Amino acid sequence: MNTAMTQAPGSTMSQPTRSRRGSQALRLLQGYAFFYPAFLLVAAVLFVPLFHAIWQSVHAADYMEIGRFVGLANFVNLLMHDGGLRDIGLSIVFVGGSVLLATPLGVGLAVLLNRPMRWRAFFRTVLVAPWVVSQLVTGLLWLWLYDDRLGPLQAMMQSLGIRALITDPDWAMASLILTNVWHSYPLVMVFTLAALQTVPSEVIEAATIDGASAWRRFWRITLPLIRNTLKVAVVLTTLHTFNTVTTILIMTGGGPAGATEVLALRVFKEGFQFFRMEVAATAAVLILLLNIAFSLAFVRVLKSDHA
Amino acid sequence: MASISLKNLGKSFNGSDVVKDVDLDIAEGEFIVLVGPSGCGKSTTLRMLAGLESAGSGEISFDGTPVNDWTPKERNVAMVFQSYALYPHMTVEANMRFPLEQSKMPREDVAATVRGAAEMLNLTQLLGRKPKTLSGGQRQRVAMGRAIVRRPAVFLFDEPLSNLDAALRTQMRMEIRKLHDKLQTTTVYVTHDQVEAMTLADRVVVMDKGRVIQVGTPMEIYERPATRFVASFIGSPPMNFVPARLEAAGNSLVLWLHDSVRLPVPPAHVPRLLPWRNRGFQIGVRPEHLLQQGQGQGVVEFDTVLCAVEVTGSNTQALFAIGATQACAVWQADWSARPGQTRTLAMNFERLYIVDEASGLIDAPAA
Repeated sequence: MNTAMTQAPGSTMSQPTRSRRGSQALRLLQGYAFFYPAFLLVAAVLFVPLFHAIWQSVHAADYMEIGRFVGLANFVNLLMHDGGLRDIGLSIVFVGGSVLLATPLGVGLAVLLNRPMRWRAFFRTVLVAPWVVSQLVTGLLWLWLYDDRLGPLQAMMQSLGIRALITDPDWAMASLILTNVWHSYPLVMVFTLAALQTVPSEVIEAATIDGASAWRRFWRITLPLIRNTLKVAVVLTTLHTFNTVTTILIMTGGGPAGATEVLALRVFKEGFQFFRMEVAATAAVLILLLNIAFSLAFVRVLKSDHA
Repeated sequence: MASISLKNLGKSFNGSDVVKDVDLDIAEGEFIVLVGPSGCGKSTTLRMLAGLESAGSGEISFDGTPVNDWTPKERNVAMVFQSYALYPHMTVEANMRFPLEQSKMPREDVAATVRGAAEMLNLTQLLGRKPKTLSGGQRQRVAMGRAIVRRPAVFLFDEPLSNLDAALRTQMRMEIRKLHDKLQTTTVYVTHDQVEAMTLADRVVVMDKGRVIQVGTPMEIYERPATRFVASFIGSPPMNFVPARLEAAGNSLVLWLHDSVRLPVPPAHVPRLLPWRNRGFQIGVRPEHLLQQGQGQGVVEFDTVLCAVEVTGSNTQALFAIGATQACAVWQADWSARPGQTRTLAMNFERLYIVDEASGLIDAPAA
């Protein structure tokens, strides 16, 4: 309507229309020009391998060659006869343990760091440090902490009657979880800290005036208000932990006696050590499915209350 | 309900005094308005009353009992914030229920109390809504609802109407006053708006630079402001101040305004002005007391040229120069006034305020 009205005089109509069409086409082209390089890059490094993995998981393999179509035989084989269920179970323990410990730790520290206190900037920096450390260094550092003869943690454990940590099948997974918690809590902490700063102080003061204790203020007011951000942090930690290979590879390599052989490590080993591509691809697809399932579950559980 | 007493109350942040030596006694059921420019310490005083801020020095007592160390809950105060501070993730009903749940009130009583308050504030239709979906005025009412459900000993309002538009502000102002008349709860209300102070308060407390400058009923503050600051803060447009001096003229006195306007002092007013003959002073006169020619009795007239005129319908504000000072007069609608006109104005000596130049203290005319 508007354009028709502004173009009222007939004779001058064709000229501006043509140029406008031209500039619109240019604008469209510009959009594509900006969009496609990024899209192609993502497609090349993400969609193609992903599709390849899914394709491979329903085919037999001959070294790097894709073989004949086998349907779900690879999945059945891995889950029923090749320890796949056990690996999934270990992955779930690893992820569950890490998220259950890292989330409250991260949130708790964020709440502490959000209060006015001395040396706050210093503590904020120090507490974020584990996040900056690579998985490789994290693995080596904790390997030393857990060391049977030299490790300071080991010495403490010994006084509690625990003889070995990372080398004991009963304690290896717990030790890995502890290491991963140390590496993962800063993400939750940083996200939570950012979210806490968006909670208006007057709302908390109103709750104080209304007679709510600090504990209830946190549960009834603060937590619901930061829930959306926390949800993102938990999902990211979950995905990250499901896919963790480096730390485990360095610290236990899946041992002792397969006690820490999580699914992601299995993908790495099958693919790059045993070159059983169909098993690696099948395990990778399982991880993808687990990731999606867990993320959806978190999103549901932490469903937002916001109108 | 509670009576409140503040003794030598003070507070400083980073070494600078925000509130200093505040003494104030508030009677049970009284509506007190703390008014002053931003940064005068009124909000800090309120927050110390609430228990959100610790008292730096001095004593706060409720009903004669010192409450400095009490939590807001123990003080049994309710507060309405400028931003309303509603809980965004809760419905209106849950917002109003929240303080009752903290006080462990039985469930049935909670529902009944919330319903009662919602009815009183016309919120019944909105109980299921979230704050985000409400208008400013509705949010304001929910904030008040959340405050009244608990039947607190003291209501505290921190500039509750600042975020509303002018029409709604007037309406809510009346509702707040009506609510107070109904509940008779001791109320302390902070604002920088002198109209709110004048219309709501039983007594107004004017603050400046962390100190209480004057306490009195709205009319006392208006009629007999203690200092130049109070006189210029209360009243709109504010009181005119003009440097003046006195000159003997035989048996009589002449008042010179800015050495440019000469006003012979009427004999009845000579005794009041005589002591100021050798002292620096200004005269203060409210715009509504600068009458037009022929109005009022016992007035002294002088000519002046209008510099600017604002007609608002019900009245006309005229700006004119007295020497280097600009002064303002307010008349009942005078549609003929135009800038550049020469007008004869009448100075009513009965309504003349004398301001000591050194101290800023005001000698108000006898009522």
